[in-house]
Amino acid sequence: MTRARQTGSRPRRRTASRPSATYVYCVVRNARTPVLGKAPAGLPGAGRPRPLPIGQGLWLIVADAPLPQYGEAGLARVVRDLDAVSRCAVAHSAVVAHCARRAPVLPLRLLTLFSSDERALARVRGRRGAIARRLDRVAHRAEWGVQARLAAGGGPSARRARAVARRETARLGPGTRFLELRRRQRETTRDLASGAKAAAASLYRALAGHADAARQRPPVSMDGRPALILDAAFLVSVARATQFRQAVRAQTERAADRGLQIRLTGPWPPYSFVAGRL
Amino acid sequence: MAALQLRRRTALSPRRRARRPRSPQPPDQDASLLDIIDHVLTKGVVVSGDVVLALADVDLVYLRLSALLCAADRLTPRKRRT
Repeated sequence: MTRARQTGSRPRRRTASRPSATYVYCVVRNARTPVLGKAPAGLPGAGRPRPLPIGQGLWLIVADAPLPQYGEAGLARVVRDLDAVSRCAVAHSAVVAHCARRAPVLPLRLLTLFSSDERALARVRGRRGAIARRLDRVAHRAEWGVQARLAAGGGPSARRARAVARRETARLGPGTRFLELRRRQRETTRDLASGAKAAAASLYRALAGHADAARQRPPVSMDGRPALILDAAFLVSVARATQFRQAVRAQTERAADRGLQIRLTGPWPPYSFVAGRL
Repeated sequence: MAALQLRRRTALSPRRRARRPRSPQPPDQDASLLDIIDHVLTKGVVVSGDVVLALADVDLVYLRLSALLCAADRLTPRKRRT
């Protein structure tokens, strides 16, 4: 790491032979020049990630993005191609995650490009105060994603309700039994949906208690049915990460009985807690 | 990037979760490709870059991409394949 060449601490001049734009991954706060010798390679076709000094201990992590690939026409091609977007997203995420493991970062959205280092710096230099404040909010914290969806078949409580219904209607005639089972099934589904919503709300409250900040995104529905009952992000200090994960584990068991399946992702760089414009 | 990788990963079984190391891990290990794309596309700071701005409306680009992603999520099977 110490042998890593600290290139790019000064804005680079473009050469006519390989015209490129400046791709920006994230803003990093670091007293010294961030060392990126072991950083992932970054976007396909782009140069190695390198730091650009904003001043006051802030750095842009950027890379040269060749214009044939990342100029206007190239980008228009990229955004139409899901595989190309995926490759960019994974590469972007890897570089940001690498930086986030070492210093506080503000992750930028995918495909943020400037025509030159100077233009990128000019854009953020006047906003150092706002950048510093946002970094303060997320420093030494990581983002965790928690998603809850309805378990297939509705979980143990729904299975119990179906078993009870079958048992209690066993003596009815076939036609009456069919109608009665249908009625009860509708009730179970209705209870399940409202129960799941309440369970998700209490899950969110419980986990927010272990976090410094929490965000909920509106539930996504697919084909008219809610795909996710809860789509939440939690900003948790690194010191309390184990505690948070234990809380999720405890809630997972409780929620499973109420027909909810919970999924935890993370630790992420604080993507959901820096959103907005700079 | 094969289309196969684009499925949302189903919830992990308790056994698999238990075997996982406790130490912090890069998100890439715990998250599906769609999670990653979702994070870097729809969240994060927007710094109006001049090249992207040249593409007319940034948000329009993101809208088109998220439509694309929803389609991918629908098309790919939920169950894991080998």
